[in-house]
Amino acid sequence: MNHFRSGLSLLLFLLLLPHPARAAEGNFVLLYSNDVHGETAPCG
Amino acid sequence: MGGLSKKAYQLKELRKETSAPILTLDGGALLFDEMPLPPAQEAPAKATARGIVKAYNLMGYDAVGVSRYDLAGGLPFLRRMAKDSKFRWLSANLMDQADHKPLFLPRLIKKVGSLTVGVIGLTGTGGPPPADGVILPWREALPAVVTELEPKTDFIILLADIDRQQIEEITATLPAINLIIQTRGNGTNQPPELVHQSLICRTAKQGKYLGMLSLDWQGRPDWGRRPAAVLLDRKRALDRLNWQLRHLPKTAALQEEKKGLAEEIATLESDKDKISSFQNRFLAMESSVPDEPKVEAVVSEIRQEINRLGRQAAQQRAGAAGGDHSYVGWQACARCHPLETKNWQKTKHAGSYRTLTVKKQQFNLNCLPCHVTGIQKETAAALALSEGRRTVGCEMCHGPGGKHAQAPKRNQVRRRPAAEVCLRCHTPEQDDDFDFQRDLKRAAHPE
Repeated sequence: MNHFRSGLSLLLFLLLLPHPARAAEGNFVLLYSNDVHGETAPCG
Repeated sequence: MGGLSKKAYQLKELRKETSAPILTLDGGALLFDEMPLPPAQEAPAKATARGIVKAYNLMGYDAVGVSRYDLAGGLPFLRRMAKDSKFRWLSANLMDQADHKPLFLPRLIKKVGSLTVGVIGLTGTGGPPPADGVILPWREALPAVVTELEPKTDFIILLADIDRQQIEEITATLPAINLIIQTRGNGTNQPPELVHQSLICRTAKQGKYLGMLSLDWQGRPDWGRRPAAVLLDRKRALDRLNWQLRHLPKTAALQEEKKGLAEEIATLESDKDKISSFQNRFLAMESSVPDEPKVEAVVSEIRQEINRLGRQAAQQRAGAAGGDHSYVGWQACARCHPLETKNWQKTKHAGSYRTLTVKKQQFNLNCLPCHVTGIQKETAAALALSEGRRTVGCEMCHGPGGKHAQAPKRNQVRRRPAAEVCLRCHTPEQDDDFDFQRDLKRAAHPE
């Protein structure tokens, strides 16, 4: 029970820690486009 | 719109292949490329715009920036499009004229994997202001949105309809912006370029490419090449230097250079996990890329609608003579130039209008001017041309033949077209394999 309590306290402590602003790391893929405007139709 | 179904296919495949979380954005200038729209083009351009929104809904875009060109159909039209969109239209500086409140969502906050990403839209200020709306200069709208996003997000992206000078100013003033997707640039692909501490990128115009940027964000804007690649490069340089030191006189300069390189390598070794890095590639919408069936169906539906609208306009113009009357059509030329005509009839130019009828696009004003003779500015006139001009005929290369037909000796036509004549239609966007000298020989005929 004591282990459970101290584990819970630690979890709460970690959750309540202020989020370090703009320090997160990670990766992602950005798929991007621009100036599509009507895309030339293959007329013929 | 032809590239949309290919882009949809590429997006689907990339999402299947990529294990990293994905964010899909469009910088803007999505719907229109003219401002204001010519009256004859308004209905087909809006039909195209509706089709693009439907296609983008199917493609799973997250957000699109509002460019001033997206306003060419009017503010109410764009707001209707925004209602029909499953993605967000973003603009931090397009405000209601009455209460100066944003007309679109200024920014979007989205969880992308372990990162919280903020995306802001910025509408360009050039051109006539939209009715009922006002576009604020970036200095009056952008800083507040960035300040609001900074503590809430890990990475900030700006979708911006701005020129180079504004990029310099914004990146110098607002270092919290990590990446800018620029719209209305010079029409070419721009791989990520570091301006101050922000990356700037864009794709070429008319949706011919899709950009794919893999980002490894280490929490600070120290952008570099893949650290491992840089390290390898520096270690190779050190190897070369060691060889020189073994075989050449050991000058102080060489010794100094070795010391500098060794220090650089040590720093790179200790910092290699702290350098944010990226890899970018552009995927071309080549004809070999398959079409995604659902988006292809949308494109086909819109093409039919555009042709229907053009047919309607053509019926309204029935009886009205079409275009410039100094053009007489190929049959008039054939009377005196039968051999040349026979030769021309074997070229692709002669069948140019037929290709449109086969594709049921013979009333599409986007296509017609380059598939008929003698239409330049007044494109709507292409809907009411005589049969002899419904082809890329003699006069397309040699100029209008009306006066020449009346008095051939006195009114000579040009024998050989200048490159500019061909380049009106064989633009890089429409014919990326065009070579004037080579292709002139293919189209030419014996005199």
